[in-house]
Amino acid sequence: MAEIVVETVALRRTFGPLLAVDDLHLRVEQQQFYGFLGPNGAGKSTTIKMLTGLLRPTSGQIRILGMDLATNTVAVKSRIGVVPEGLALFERLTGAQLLNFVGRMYGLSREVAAERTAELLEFMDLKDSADKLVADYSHGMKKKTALAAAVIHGPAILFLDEPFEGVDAIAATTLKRLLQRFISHGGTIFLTSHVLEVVERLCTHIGIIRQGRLVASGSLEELRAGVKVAGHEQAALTLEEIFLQVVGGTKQDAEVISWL
Amino acid sequence: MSAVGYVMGALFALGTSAGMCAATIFMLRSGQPHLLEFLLWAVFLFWQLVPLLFEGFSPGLNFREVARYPVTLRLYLLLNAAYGVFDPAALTALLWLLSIWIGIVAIRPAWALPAAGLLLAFAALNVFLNRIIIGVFERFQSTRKGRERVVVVLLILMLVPQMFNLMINGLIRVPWAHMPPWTLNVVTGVRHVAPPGLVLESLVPGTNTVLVPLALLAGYLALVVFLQVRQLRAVYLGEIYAESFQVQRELKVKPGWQLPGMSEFMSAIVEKELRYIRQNARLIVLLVNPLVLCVFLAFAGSAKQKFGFGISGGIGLLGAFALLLAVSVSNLSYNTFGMDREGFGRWLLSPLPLQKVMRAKNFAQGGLITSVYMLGAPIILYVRHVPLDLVVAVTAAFFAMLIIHLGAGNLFSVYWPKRIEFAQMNSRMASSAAGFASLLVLLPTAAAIGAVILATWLLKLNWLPLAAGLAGLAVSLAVYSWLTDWAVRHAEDHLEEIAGALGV
Repeated sequence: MAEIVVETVALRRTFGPLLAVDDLHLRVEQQQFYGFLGPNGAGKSTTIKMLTGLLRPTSGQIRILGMDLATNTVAVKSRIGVVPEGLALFERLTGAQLLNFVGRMYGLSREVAAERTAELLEFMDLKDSADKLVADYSHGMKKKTALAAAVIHGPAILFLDEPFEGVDAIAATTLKRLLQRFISHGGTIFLTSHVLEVVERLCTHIGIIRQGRLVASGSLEELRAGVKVAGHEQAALTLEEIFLQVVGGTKQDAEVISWL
Repeated sequence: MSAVGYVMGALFALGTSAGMCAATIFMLRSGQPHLLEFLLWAVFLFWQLVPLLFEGFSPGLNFREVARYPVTLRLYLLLNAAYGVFDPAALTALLWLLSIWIGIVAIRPAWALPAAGLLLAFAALNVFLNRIIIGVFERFQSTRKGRERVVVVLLILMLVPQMFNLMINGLIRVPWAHMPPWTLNVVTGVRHVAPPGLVLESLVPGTNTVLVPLALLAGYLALVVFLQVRQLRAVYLGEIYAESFQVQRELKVKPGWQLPGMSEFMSAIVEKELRYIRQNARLIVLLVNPLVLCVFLAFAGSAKQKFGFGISGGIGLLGAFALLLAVSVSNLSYNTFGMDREGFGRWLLSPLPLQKVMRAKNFAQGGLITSVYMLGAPIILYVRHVPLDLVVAVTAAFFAMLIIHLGAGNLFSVYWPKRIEFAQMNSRMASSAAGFASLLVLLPTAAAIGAVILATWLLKLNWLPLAAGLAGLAVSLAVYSWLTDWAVRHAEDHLEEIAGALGV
C-alpha cells in the first residue's frame, strides 16, 4: 500500500457562528493527483489553507508526509509547494528576482536557485518577461509564476487552489504539462478546481465536499460505481453528472427566472 | 468632499475674492496698475497647480472613461470644458477674476469693457490649458509606472514649501542682492511672454503698442484650443496608453546577493527588501528628506544663530539629524509587511519562522537608515566641529533609538497592518493607529535624552552623554528582543486578520 502523505482527522474550522469545515477525514496517497471539488462556499479553500499552514484549524489533526503540521510546521513547509488562492506573490520584484528569491528562502544555494529560475522561466514561456515586475504581468502570467514558485525547491506535495481559474488555453496546457511531469516523478498533487473537465482529465482521485463535509471520495471509477443516475445505467457517468448527483442543487426549468 | 469641506472652500473663495477686489482698488488708486500682474499670476498659478494637486491626492473623474460612453465628439469636448470650469479651484479662480474686474470698474470705469474681454480670454486660456495638463496627467495615471512617478513629483513639489519655510525663518539665506544679472533678464523675459503679463500689457499699455501682447494672447488661446481638441480627439478615437513590454532575447538570471557573514536566506531577504525600497521612489524621497534638510542646515550660515555657535551648534545639528533619521525609520518599519501586500502570504508559506523574517527585514531597514546617517554625519562634522566623545555618544543614541523603533515597528506592524497603495498620494506608509502608538516610543526616548542633556548641563557631567548613549544601546537590544517576541506571538495568533488586512 502506498504511503499516505496527506491525512486529516476530524478537521473542523469555524468563523464565528459559521461552520466552514466539519469533521473532515481526508487521506491522500503518494503520487495521487487528488481533485478536491465542491460548490462555492463548500469549504475547499478553507481546507487547503489549513493544510498549508495559512489557517489554523479550530480542532482536529493534520498530518503531512507523516508529520503533525501543528508541531512540525517548518519541516512540513519546506517539503510542500503551494499556489494559494491570492497567489501571494511579491509583485514589486521581477519574475526572475521573485523565483530566485523564493528558491533561496527554501534553502537553495544562489547558483542552484538562479539555474532553476532560468529553467522554469523558459518552461513557463515567461522568458521574455523575466525582467518585468510581476505587478505588470497578466493574470495568466502571474498564475504561471506562482506555480513556478511552488515547485522551484522540488517539493514532495503540491497544493493548488484553483490553478486554472482565469488562465487561457495555452497557459493551461503549460500548467498541465508541468503537473503531469511532477506526478510522473513521484510527486503528489492536491488540487481544488471549478473546472470539472480539467479535474476529470487530470485527477486520479477525487473528493467532493459540501457544506464543510466530505460527501464522496475515491478514484473516478469508485465514484462512478457508487453513484447511480436514472437513464445512465449502461453509460459511464461524467464527473459533472457525479458531482451534480452528489452535491445536488441544480434548478429545474420552473425555478429559472421567469422573465428570462 | 464633506459639507464642512464645501463650507470651508466657499469661505476661502469668498474671503480671498474680497481680498483680490480690495487689492485691485488699492493698486489702481495708488497709481500702480502694473502691480495687477501679481494678482493675475496668483490666479494663473492657482488655476494650473491646485487642480493638479487635488488630482494627484484623490483622482476624480477620468475623462478617458467618459469617452467610452455614447457621446459625440462635440459633446465630449463641451463636457470636458464644462468639467474644467466647474472644478472648485477653477470656480475660485473665476471668482477672483470677477473680483479683479469689479475693482477695475470701480476705479477705472472706462476700462470695464476691454478688461472684461481680456479677463474672459484669460479665463478661457486657463480652462483649456488646465484641461490639457490634466489630460497629460491622466495619461500618466493610466500606467503603474506613470502613477508612481506622479506621486514622486508631487512629493518633491511638497518639499518646496518646506524650503520656503526655512528661508522665511532665516535658516537658509538666499543672496537676492547677489543674483547674477541674467536671472533678472530671464524673469523679465518670462513676464513679457507669459499670459498674466500679456493680459496686463494689453490692458495697461506701456511704451509698446497693445497689438503685440494682444496677438500673442490670441495666439496662445488658439494654440491651447487646438491642442485640447487634438488631445481629446485621440482619446475619443480610443487611444490606448498602457504598459508596454520590451522583448528580451536572451535570458540570463543572475544569482542573488550573498552578503558577508549572513546566511543564504538572510541575504535573500535583505536583497528583496532593498529592491522593494529602491522601486518605491516615494519612500526614497521620504528617506532622503532628512539628509537634504541636514545638508541645507549644515551649510546655512544662519543655522549657527538657531543652534548656537561653535560646538553646541554642531552637536545640536548632529543630534537633530540623528533623531530625525531614527524617527524616519517608522516609514519602513511601522508597517513592515505593508509593501509586501499579498506577498505576506509567501512568508507564511515559506519554511522560515516569522521572527527570522522580521529580523532580516529590520536588518535591511536599519542598514539603509544607517547608510543615510553615515552620509549626513560626515558632512555635519566637516562643516561644524564636534568633539569625538560627543560624536560617539550621539551615534550610540542614534543606534539605540533606531533599534527600539525597529522593535516597536514589528509590534505595530502586526497589531495594525495596512496594505500600502504605491500609486496613491494619500496612502500612508503606516496606519494612523501605529502613528499614535509611536508616541509610546517617542515620549520615553525624548524624556531620557532630555534628562541626559539636562543632567550634563546642570551637574557638569561631561562623561554622561557617552555613558548614557552606550547604556541606551545595550538596553535597546533587550527591548528590541522583547518587542519582537511579543510581535511574533501576536502574529501567530492573528494570522488571518493580518493576512486579510494586507489583501492576501
